[in-house]
Amino acid sequence: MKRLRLKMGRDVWRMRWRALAIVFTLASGIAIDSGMSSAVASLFWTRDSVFAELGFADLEVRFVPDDADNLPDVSDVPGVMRVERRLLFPATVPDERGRPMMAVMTFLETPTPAIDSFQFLEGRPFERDEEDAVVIEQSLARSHGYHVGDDIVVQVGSQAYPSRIVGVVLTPEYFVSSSNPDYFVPERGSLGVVFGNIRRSSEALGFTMVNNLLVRFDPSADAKAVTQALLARTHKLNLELVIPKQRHFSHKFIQTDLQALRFFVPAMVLVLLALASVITFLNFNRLVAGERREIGALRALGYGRRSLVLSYAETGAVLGLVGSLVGIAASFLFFRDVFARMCADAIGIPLVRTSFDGIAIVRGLLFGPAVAAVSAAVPVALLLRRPTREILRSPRAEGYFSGRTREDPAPTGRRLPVGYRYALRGLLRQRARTIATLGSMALALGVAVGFRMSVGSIDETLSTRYARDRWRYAVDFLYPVFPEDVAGITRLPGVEGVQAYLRRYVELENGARREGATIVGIDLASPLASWPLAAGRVPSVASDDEVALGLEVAKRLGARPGDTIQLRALERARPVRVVGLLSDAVLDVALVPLPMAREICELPEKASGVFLQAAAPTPELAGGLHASPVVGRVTEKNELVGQIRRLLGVMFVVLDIAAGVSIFVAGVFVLSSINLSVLENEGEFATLRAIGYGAGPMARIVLTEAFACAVGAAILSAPAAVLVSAYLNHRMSLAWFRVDNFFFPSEEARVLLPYLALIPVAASPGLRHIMRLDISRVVRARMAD
Amino acid sequence: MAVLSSFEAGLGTRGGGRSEDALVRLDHVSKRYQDGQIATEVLTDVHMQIERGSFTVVLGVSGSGKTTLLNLVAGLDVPSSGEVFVDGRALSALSERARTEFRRTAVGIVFQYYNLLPTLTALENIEAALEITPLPAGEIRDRSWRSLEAVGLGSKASRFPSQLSGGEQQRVAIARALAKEPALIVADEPTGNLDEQTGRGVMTLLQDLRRRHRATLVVATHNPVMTSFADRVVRIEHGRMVDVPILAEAGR
Repeated sequence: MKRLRLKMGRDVWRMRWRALAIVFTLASGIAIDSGMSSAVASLFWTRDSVFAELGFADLEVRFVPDDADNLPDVSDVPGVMRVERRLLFPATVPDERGRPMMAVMTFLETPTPAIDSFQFLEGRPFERDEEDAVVIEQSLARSHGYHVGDDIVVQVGSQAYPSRIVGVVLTPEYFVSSSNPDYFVPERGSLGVVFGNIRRSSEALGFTMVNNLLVRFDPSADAKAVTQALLARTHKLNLELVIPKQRHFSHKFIQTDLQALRFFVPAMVLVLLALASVITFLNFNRLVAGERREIGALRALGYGRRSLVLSYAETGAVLGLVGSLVGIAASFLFFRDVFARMCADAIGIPLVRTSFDGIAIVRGLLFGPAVAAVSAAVPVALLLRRPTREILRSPRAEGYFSGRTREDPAPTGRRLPVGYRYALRGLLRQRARTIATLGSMALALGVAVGFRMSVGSIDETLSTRYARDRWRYAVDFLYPVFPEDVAGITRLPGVEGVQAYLRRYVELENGARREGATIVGIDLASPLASWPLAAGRVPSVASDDEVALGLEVAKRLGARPGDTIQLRALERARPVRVVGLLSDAVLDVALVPLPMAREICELPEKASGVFLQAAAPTPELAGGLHASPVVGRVTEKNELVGQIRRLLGVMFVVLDIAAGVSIFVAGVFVLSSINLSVLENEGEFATLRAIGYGAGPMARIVLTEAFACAVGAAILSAPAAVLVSAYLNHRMSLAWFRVDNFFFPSEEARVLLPYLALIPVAASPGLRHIMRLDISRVVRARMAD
Repeated sequence: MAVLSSFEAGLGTRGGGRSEDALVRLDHVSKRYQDGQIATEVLTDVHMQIERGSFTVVLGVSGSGKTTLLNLVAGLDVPSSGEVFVDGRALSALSERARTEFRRTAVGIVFQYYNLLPTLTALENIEAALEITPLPAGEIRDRSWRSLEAVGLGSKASRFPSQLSGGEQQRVAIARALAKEPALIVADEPTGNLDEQTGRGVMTLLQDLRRRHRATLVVATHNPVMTSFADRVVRIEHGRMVDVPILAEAGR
């Protein structure tokens, strides 16, 4: 076996460029798998480590404000490590354009809390005796341009708190760029968070008022038991909300987004690895075809089938291992960090701490050698099924899967110049191989286009979805208001119709599962808004116990139409019956009639926003809306797709990356195919050179064959793209919201045109090889062979 | 036929004069191949000329250097030292492009293994050689037909190489070489892959065509029987031209 290994090693060196193509193809698939998986692991690690370092609260309890002296002491509850008290108020602060935006004013008893503590990005904590100093959460700085030293006026109801910013902080409570879940589209940076000195409120009131407890448990404590004990101790408080860490928005938002990544990445990686397998198999098949006489000679010498198959398998495994190692190295050196950064930016995570996914790495280490070993062994094994004398005498070009050499009795391309005829017949000469090559290229291109089409389908679905709605503006108020408070808005010129809605954060419970959601109360008979259904129906207009759930939240709850679940608001539970599932782009919705929502949220007659119908957007109307003191945010329907797209940002990042990698793999495959074809026809090319073919005619022949193959692959890629896009859209529809299939020829062109333009570049190594041939040697050697 | 002595064969060689009728002249030509550390001298100080219109056989066993000599004459390779002149032009002074041009127009090559393109018909193989010349399409077609008919294969124009016998394939290869009406035809072991009878047929054809087209023909062979067709025989051994005992009427 030693000599055999030596032979195989030299063979690999001889076909080193081919070997490199195999290595790179395998490496690209493994790099994506390992890189993406490790990026996701990094983001989870970032979240978990930051939360641990900054003491993310294990439990948050919100209650109606009370004197701090009246609060029961819960610090001695078994399992409680630490307790901190705070006073939170909804507020407004001016955004960068001076318009009021929704905020939360948090008064702290200590400048440096130990629970939900601060990592200072700029500045310092306020001093205990600094009453007008505040620190701001980092998204106010990032999204609205505030910095240390700036003044900021925090409006809490009718009370204004002019303040001075002394610090900008990162805190686990708002780790993901803070967004207002009460807004129609909870865009990042739509919620400002300000931390100030509780003495400012205490001095005004004459006592310390608090309405929020943060609790940290002992690491070894039973969280459920401690929570129960705490709630028992605080039963006299008027509780509004009890939020364990796992249900906190900051914790869950990342979880949801990253789960979405895990949803798509396997599909993408599967295709890339399948491609890598096909390319590897084709390359090895050709190698075996070229060596069949050597293999026959070895058999004639007495080498057994097993040892020959093993030697090729071993060589394949080594190449595959190199591919795995290169892929894993690339994932650590580049892909993981790039993916993690791109996904973090899309989700709104401000920093990334790297980690790795051990399972993905092991998977990568096993995949490369396994695929390459099998790809190398199978052609040899099949060849060795023939009698040795047949192997020795078989013609050079015939590999086992290459099909017979075909001479067409009705020659192709009769009308074309002979050079072109020769090039095209080169493709037809081994049809099985040509089909395999075309199929692989088409698959790679089709996947790339399919991913792009899926992005386009999502965009188009969103545009089409809201085109059906009659509203022009969705106006979210800073806080729930009575209709008379917004009469001025509804009488603005151009307004043709108004529909109030109430949106609040609630919790839904189904058995042991508990999930946060946004209750949306609206007149369901109103024609201004529509609600696309995935199943069932919308609640009846007059019902008080029916709900239609968003698909995503229903899935997390395990709830289906017909089920009865608990809807929790203000720490009171109410049974409701699920009558339908919504397939809408705005997620986590619990749709109910407006009166029911008002009752649940104890906000009779109030609305948190209105849909406005208007013939056309006008500056007067927009200006009038923004000038209103109660308006927090105005969403114009035309801008909606962009906003939702930003919210889905991470999905588009994944899809774009997938498209890019597919194109790369297609490029590698084109390069290796063209140049392999040149090598295999070396003798004929040398003959042509010998009879006077120069660079120009040779280039025409090589490029004709390459372009014919490329155009064939491009045509075949269209159905592949459609299938891939439809598959991804179907998966998205099952998990998030219904995505309709739209097919965009422009996406095909965007991928295919650059690919076709690269063909001459891909062909140039082969052409160079032809022009540098030792004609006399090759003519004799190859044609004799 | 006269098999000349090395001296006579080397007319115009070591110190001899140059014949003005010489189409090809090799001036102290040597060829070495370097493969890593190993250098192999394949031709050593070959000095000879080939008369215009003659039929010269270069006789030598396998590995003697005859193929290398033909490659140099055909412009497929350049000497390591010395010079090859064809029709007064020094081939090694030409650029690669110019040598390609030379092969395209001035020399026809016949290979031992025919070297036909398997996916082109007999006629198309000949057309392929003419397509890269400035000839118009109609002329290309006509010449190709004439060449094919000249070798007796007009009825097999649409056959692919795999549908032809060895002898027929070689005749197509000859037709391809002749189609461009070159001044020089070089054939490397044209009968090496054929049985003796077929080989004689090919050599007869070559002789006949050479006479009709007034081309200069140089054939390399290891088979002394084939020397009977030539006007001159040059023998090569271990890369050197050697004294040849005159073999009157040999092989007839």
